[in-house]
Amino acid sequence: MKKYIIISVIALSAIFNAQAQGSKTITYPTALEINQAQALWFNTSNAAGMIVTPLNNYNTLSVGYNVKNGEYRLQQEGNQQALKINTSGATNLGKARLWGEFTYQNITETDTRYNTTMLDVVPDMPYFVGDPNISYWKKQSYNMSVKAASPVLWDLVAFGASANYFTKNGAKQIDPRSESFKYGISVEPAVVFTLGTKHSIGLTFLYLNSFERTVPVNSNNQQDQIAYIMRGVGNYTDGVVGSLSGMGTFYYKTNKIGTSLQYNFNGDRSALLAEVKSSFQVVDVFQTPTKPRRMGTTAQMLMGGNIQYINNGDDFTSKVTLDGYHKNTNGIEYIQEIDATYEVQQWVTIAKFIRSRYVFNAATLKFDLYRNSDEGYDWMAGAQGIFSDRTDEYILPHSTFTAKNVYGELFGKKNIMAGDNSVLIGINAGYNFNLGGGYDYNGAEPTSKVVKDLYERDNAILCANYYQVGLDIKASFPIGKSTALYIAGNCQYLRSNDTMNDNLYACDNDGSNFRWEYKTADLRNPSQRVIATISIGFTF
Amino acid sequence: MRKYILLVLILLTAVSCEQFKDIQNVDAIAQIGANVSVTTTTVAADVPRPDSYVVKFTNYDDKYEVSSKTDANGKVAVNDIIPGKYTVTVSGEIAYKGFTYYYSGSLTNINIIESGKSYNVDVVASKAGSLILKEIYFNGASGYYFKDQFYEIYNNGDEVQYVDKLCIGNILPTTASTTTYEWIVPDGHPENYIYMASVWQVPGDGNDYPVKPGESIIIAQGAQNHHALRPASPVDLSGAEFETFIVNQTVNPDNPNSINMDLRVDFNVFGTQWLVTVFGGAYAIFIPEETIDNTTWVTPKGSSSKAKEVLIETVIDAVEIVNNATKITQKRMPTSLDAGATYTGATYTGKSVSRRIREVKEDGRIIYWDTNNSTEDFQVNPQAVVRRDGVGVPSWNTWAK
Repeated sequence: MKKYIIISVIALSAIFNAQAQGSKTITYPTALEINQAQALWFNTSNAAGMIVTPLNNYNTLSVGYNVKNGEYRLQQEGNQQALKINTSGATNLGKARLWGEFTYQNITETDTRYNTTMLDVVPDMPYFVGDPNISYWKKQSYNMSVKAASPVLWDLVAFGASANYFTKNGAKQIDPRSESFKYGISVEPAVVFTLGTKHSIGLTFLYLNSFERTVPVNSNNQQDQIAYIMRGVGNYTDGVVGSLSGMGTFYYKTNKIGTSLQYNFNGDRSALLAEVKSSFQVVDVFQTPTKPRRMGTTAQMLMGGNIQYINNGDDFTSKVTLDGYHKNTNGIEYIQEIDATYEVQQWVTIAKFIRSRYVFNAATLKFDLYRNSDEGYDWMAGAQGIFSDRTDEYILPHSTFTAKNVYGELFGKKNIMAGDNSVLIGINAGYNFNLGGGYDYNGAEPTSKVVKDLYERDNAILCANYYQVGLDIKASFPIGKSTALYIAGNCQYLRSNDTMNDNLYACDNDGSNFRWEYKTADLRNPSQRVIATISIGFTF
Repeated sequence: MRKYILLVLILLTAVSCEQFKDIQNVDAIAQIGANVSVTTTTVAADVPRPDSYVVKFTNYDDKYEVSSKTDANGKVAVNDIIPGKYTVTVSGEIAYKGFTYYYSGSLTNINIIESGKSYNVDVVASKAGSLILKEIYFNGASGYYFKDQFYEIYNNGDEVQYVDKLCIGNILPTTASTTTYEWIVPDGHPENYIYMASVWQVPGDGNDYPVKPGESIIIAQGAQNHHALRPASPVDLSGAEFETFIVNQTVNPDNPNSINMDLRVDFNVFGTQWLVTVFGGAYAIFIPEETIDNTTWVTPKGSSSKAKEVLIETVIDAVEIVNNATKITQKRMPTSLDAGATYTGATYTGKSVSRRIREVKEDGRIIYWDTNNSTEDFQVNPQAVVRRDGVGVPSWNTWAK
């Protein structure tokens, strides 16, 4: 499979490059950015709309190295080093438009905890296996996306489609360990109706299918490892990895359908695009394929929308983006029993109930102002505000995990031209203000590590005030008629001055009674996080 | 090609539709009520009844318990149950003419998912005095050492008990799992039996091996000082009263002091020792009404596994040990013998399970919990100990240190 992916990517790059030979100008980073901001339809789910507000032709290929370090993080996240190779491009294919992207990542995560099996831990998937051992993961991922749009036919309609295929595999490297594999494919056919020269409306349908399989094992088969079969908001069932009694293979089957509707107004200098979308996703979690036992199901309804407004002046381009969504996930658990009949011998579902709910609301308001130039823009400045509200609830026994935050940020960039060379310098500064939240656990294990060490800590992280500052530098050097080499670096620094790190976790000698204890001053560490990326690449 | 793509799309859509259909009309969980009625149909009329019984609902998956007391008629309504799979245990006791009568009964792994349903629990009464399995060390020690397994049987009552002809064994399946058996028995009532994979019997003519109240006997897999042989082993079994010595083998030595048990059923005894799984077996002690005939056996449907059927009514005590908490719902022992299960959670740790102390008499004699629910009655010990709590050694054991 890997071979086919690589061949496809090379072929895709070659096609894009061949198609782009007609336009022999350097694509500067600033041009790419402003072009993507102006291509309103590209920023929606509707691929057919690319014909209405097309991306300029471009191709990029880059290799990057990404580092995430520091204590201000969720427990399962760990620290991370990643090698990333990315290529993307847009071109016309006759009168049609085509865009594609491929990303390969090789990721090492260290100091992770409470995730034994999942390649990606997400808050609305409560059914996974965790363990308290500090561990590390090795992961690889391949992600390929394409969008295509037909020409406008009969001055009325354009068709298009987007597709995404990804695979990810990885292995946890400390007992209890696991080997995990995941793939997914989505297709989203789209249509746009143009109503005169200024109005258009679009419609898409989405289908996604994904599968993940993970096998928990031990390297040291003399030592069984305890594990927690998580059920949400700190509730879990005791489990063991290893020996005859150990957990079997976990697997996740995902199907998702969705739809979106767009309206676009294109004025002489300004344009507006509004989109509403919804999707419905079901993930079934099983254990042991040869005698499947349901571990849970999540059913997720997402409703969202965004509005983009752009004004293209002679000297300035400004854009306002409002984006928001509401996501409601029900966690369904099953009461099952073995049908012992010799000919059957399988798990049978007796009843099922919604045991937990995960509600997430988010809204982002962003303003960008660009000072136009021949290379894209001379400088840009902007501001954004992000509101997020997370409420996880375990219905019986009733427990809640909540976090409500608003984050504000100012940012700006300056493009310095030195001959044909360009140096783009950006800075950003933001502050997260916590509006409320907390963790109220009323289940059977109030002093367990899962409650104290995972959920309480994560809640402290998610409910912290913090500030973030960042520096971004990208230097481009033309090395041919239409090719430029660029070197980029980005560093973000987050720091929280809240008292979350004034405490450590302790327990009695027998491992029971897990609790907070106040740290003496010499043991305290600042709660901070550094995210840094360096990359080198080409635009052509 | 086009038709294959179409076929794939149709199949994917069909699969996703099925998945979406599965989660339609699923209700949010809410507390429900249940009614329990306690009856004593098998208890003789002249045996006194307790004023009330304690009814406990235990949901092992949720680690959730609800407990309530019945009225004088043995009825109780409980309203704060989370729908799920429950074990319902009933216990009660009454003191009468110098004896304490213990009542117990249970329903295991019942699905309580609708409100207002009624459940009947028929309890049995026993006078304190039965022999009980007090401590079981099955787990083994570090280094895959399992020759130090032992079973301690204790006289929990007020009268001398004779262990002559007492049998001990483990039932099939040997390990708790989703594999279950449909037994075929000659009388067509498989529910009346347990199915022994192995049975060892104490020799004796009926009054050779008395065990006084507060004393215990040790049945060792091998009656050796295992701690000296393997320092990781927590026990010295050289003073064990009995050992399950396999004759005609020379790998494991015979302790000349320890009395050899008679191997009556060897369907699951292999090699040079009686090794019961270190993940935890389901054990029973009983005194058979007749000599055990190991030339006959029963098998389950679709399997060649052999077992000796033993009438439940002859069983004196039984204990279910499972691998870990996730296996409690896969227990093997009938609930009339053990409504629960106990576990150590990992193998080769030197851990054991033993009964919790219920009371200490004025003369220092210990009474252990015996409600026929090992989840309630047993504790997990970080290390196995021979004759924990300083219980007595039978006077005829002259070799115990």
